[in-house]
Amino acid sequence: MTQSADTEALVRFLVTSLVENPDSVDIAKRVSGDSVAYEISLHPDDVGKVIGRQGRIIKAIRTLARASAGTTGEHVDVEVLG
Amino acid sequence: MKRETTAEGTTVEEALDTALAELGVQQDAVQYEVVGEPGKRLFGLGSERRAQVRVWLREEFVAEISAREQEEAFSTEDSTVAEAAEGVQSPAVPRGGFPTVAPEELSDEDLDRIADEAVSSIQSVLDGFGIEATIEEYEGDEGEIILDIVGGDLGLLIGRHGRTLDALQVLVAAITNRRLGFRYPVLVDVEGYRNRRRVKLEEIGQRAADRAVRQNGPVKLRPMSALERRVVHVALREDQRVVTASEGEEPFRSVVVSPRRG
Repeated sequence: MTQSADTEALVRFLVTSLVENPDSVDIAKRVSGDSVAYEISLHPDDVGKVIGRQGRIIKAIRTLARASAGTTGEHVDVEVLG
Repeated sequence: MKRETTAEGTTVEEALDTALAELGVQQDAVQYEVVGEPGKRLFGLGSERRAQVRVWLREEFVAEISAREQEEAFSTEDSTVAEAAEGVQSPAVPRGGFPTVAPEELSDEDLDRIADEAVSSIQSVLDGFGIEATIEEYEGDEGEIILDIVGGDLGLLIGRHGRTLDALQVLVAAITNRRLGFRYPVLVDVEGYRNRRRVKLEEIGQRAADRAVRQNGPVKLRPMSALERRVVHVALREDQRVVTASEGEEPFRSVVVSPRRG
């Protein structure tokens, strides 16, 4: 019942679904050792939408991204570039 | 926006990440101090002690942050059913700029459309997790749409203390609101977890009420999410012996049950 998880696709879906300008979304995946960081570039108007009040949205994105990668043992981070 | 916060994690780095997420800034915008080092409990019993950090914004970033705050005032905001229902926010200006729509204002077709949007976003998340599951639709007591994800070993979607499920709730609500252009209560569940959890929380609330009466003093519960706190508030609403309130800052906000005076 389980196929392989695709954390990058998950992050991309969440971010593009939350913004006004999905075409301006760029996600760079940086791997170092067993850490993976997804760096999100956005239209300036959309930064607040992806971060959310008190960071609630970006925190939730991080939680899901980490859970999806949970079984692989890698450390996952998701950051919004200013 | 908050200018200071404390956060926990299994490592200092993770606690810092959480704090930065909460403040919505990058690390170069803050200064921090380690309040608690991670480590094992005495005698190796119990769970590991978590790292705790206090993080605050650098002066020079405060101005920049207030600009961002203005921007956010007009941005999409997550709406969990819980927060709307906790009734702390003034309804005069809807949060996130999306008007809230009451169940009775909508036709069956509208409700189908809302459910379809929410189901499709949940489905995309499940795809990202590589999980095949079924999404069952229910209507809740107050007209809310309940979407229960079922079909096997789904503990991964619930997470510790339901944290992953809470994140899923926040994002599905935000995405659904954004696609619809209005806010409607949609509750995401996994294998009926919220229901089971609710029964347990109601018991916790009852026990706290009994203790508050017996001790004739306030009883503070462990920190809970907004949804969990709401369950406790509602469970004790009819209990004439006690009053309930929420105290503290997220994510350590908790319910306090006190004996009713007079």
